[in-house]
Amino acid sequence: MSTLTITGLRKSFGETTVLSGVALEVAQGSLTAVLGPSGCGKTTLLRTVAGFERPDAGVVRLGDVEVVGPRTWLPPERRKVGVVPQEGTLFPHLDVAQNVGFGLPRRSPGRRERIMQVLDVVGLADLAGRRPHELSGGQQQRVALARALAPEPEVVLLDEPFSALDAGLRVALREDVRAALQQVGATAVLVTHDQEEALSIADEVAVMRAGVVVQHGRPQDVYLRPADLGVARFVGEAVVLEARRSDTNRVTTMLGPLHVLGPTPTGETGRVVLRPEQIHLVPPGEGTAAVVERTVFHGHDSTVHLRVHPAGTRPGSPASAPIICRVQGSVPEHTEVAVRVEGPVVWFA
Amino acid sequence: MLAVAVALVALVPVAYLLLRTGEAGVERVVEIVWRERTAALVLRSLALTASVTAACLVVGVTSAALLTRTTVRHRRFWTVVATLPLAVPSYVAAYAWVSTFGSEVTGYGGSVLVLTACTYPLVMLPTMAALQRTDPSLEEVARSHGRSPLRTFVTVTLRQARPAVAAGSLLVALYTLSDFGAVSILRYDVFTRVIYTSYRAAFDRTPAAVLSLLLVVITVAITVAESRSRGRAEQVRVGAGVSRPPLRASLGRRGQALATTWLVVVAAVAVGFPVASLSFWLLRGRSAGAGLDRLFGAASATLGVSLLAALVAVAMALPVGILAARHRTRLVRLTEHASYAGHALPGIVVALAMVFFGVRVVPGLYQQVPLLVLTYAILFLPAAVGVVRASVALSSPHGEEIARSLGHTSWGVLRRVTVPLAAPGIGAGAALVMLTCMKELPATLLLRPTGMDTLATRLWTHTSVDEYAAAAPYAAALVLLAVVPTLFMSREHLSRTPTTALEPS
Repeated sequence: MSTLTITGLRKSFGETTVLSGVALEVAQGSLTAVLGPSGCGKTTLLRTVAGFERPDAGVVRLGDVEVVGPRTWLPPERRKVGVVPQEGTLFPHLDVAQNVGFGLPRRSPGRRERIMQVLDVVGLADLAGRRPHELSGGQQQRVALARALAPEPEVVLLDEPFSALDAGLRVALREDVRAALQQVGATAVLVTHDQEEALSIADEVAVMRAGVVVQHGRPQDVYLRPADLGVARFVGEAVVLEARRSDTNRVTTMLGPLHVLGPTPTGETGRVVLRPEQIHLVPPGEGTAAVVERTVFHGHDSTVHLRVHPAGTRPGSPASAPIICRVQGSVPEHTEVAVRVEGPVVWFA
Repeated sequence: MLAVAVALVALVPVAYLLLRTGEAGVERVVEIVWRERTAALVLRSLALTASVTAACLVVGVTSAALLTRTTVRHRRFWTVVATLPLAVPSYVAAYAWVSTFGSEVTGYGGSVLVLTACTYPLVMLPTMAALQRTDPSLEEVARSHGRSPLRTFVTVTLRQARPAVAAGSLLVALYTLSDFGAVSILRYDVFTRVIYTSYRAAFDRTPAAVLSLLLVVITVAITVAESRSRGRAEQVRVGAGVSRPPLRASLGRRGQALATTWLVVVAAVAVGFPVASLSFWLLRGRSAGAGLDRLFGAASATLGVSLLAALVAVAMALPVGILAARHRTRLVRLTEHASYAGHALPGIVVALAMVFFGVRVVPGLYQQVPLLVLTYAILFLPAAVGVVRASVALSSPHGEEIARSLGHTSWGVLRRVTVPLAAPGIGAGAALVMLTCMKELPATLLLRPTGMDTLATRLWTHTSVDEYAAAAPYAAALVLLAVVPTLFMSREHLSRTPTTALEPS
């Protein structure tokens, strides 16, 4: 397994620019999730690293080997890159063992052992003789992962591997795939548009937008310190408030004075971002007064949509702003409530 | 590269036809084209084509409507029977009629009868498919707006099926223009027969080449006219959410009787009579003592060249078909279209062009097996390319990418993934090409090695000297060979019917 380094990667299809200078480094043995909305170029990035697409410019290195460069372009079969596609895409004319052994030399001595070994890693050792159509969706994805891991690739690329599965199965398989990748110490890149999936299983998250990586860091950092408002809104739900600087690390908002995380705010006015779970409902009088507009029940919790009227303004005036918060247990019975913010917020000029 | 080479081979007949015509000089060509005889020939050919197409429209659409949109009894049985004429080569049907009625059925009338009986399934099958797929809710809307069932069928349902009907009619028209065997046996002087006789009779082969080119022009003109006239109609797409079986008009006692009579009469003319006539001559021939050795000789020669031709055609079709399924660039489309050249050219024309090519370029191969096999391959390349393309397109290209990423070269991927996955379809296509080759007549007549006989040429030879009993075993063998794929096709058609009705697509 090697470090994957991508610099200045560009790719256009005719008039449409899909990648406009992507830079990304994936440390050896780590799992990076490339997160972005559909059409942001994340799948093209993956296909370029795999060798299925030729970029217009840029460098891709696997460890010390340059697989894409100004004068190099290795075909996919010489890159040692494993790919797990969206729908598994097992070869329907081969059984599970033959699928997994597809990338191993046909007469290599340890072939049979290696096949059983990787099937064991994904927990399917007893299904080696099955045909792809006899497997469930989740099992097919495990076989696809085993097939990618069998030839000991330098890096494994997973293209939305869970999106074709139903919700319950998705979470379970996610954990298993994470465990399997960790067990073999794989360097892996997982492409997804599901922010919960990216945050929960990746060591690092790279957020892509319009053909570039706009932020790359640990899941907590991307979530709590988004690089810009766009990232903030895409990675989880965000509450955005107008703010005025009051002190070095303090701002005033309609929810009262707040502490700013990280770098000192510049300028006099700006906006701050906070997460719904930072907002707590408190008895009236103990925080900023708010009116409950509607609640959405999710089962494990509820989302409460509120409207806040800052001190001194009448209800319904333009200065009132919509905010949301999460509530566990019972939802408020009265529409007149109060809210209080916990934890620091992020400032954008 | 390979695909481009194949396309160039497929264009050889056209090239040689142009070359041969060009050498004759403009004056000579104009003189041949402006002959009164040529004008009469064009009119006769067009009249026959128009009559057969119109007759097939009536028979094909009526049968299709009865079988898909009414409650006529024994629908499955009648569907199979109505498809069977495809198994009777047109010259075998012509033989059946001529051997019984002699000169009473020769000429225009007999040709229309025989060709209609043989080709109406070409209109019926696509129409049935279209009528089964049309959205019943559209008809319900029309009915609720006060239209009678019959008017609804004509104004709403048939309109939706129009592209399919038009495509079927085009097939019939092209088949009629290029048919050689039936019109020759029925002694009706249309293009194909005149080209053959002028090639055989005269030392000068220029008229044959000029007339061939004229026939190609007419063929292409009809094809273009059809696709032009389709225009918008083709864009009328059937909605994706069709999940209900088509509405069927329930027939009363009289309706059942009428519908059944129609189906019986059509089947009697198209299948019953040829089979009866064949059986009669077969029994006659047994008492006269037909040579079994010769039958087996002809059968094994037929099998041999047809198998070779099928293999060559599929081998040629592989690069074009795979390319066409995977890459849609302009060069690829051009290559694919070039490989379809054989489709637009009547068999007699391709055969004649290959004679010119053989005599001029490879005299050593003229009237040898390799040139005959190559001619078959060019003639049936379109069918083979279509099958390869469809089979390859069925599997996802992602599998090939994954195989590449697992360390296999593009050649290895072709060998281990693409071809194995497409193999069943390609195999069926090869079998179909082989069976078509077995029935081929004009190219075989012109290009077979001296002394070699196939089932088709023996039938031809015996029929041309009125030895009907001696011809019978060959005719029977040809029909038996063709019944297999036809039954297979109609079974496919039937087994598809209930699922399309139940499954939301």
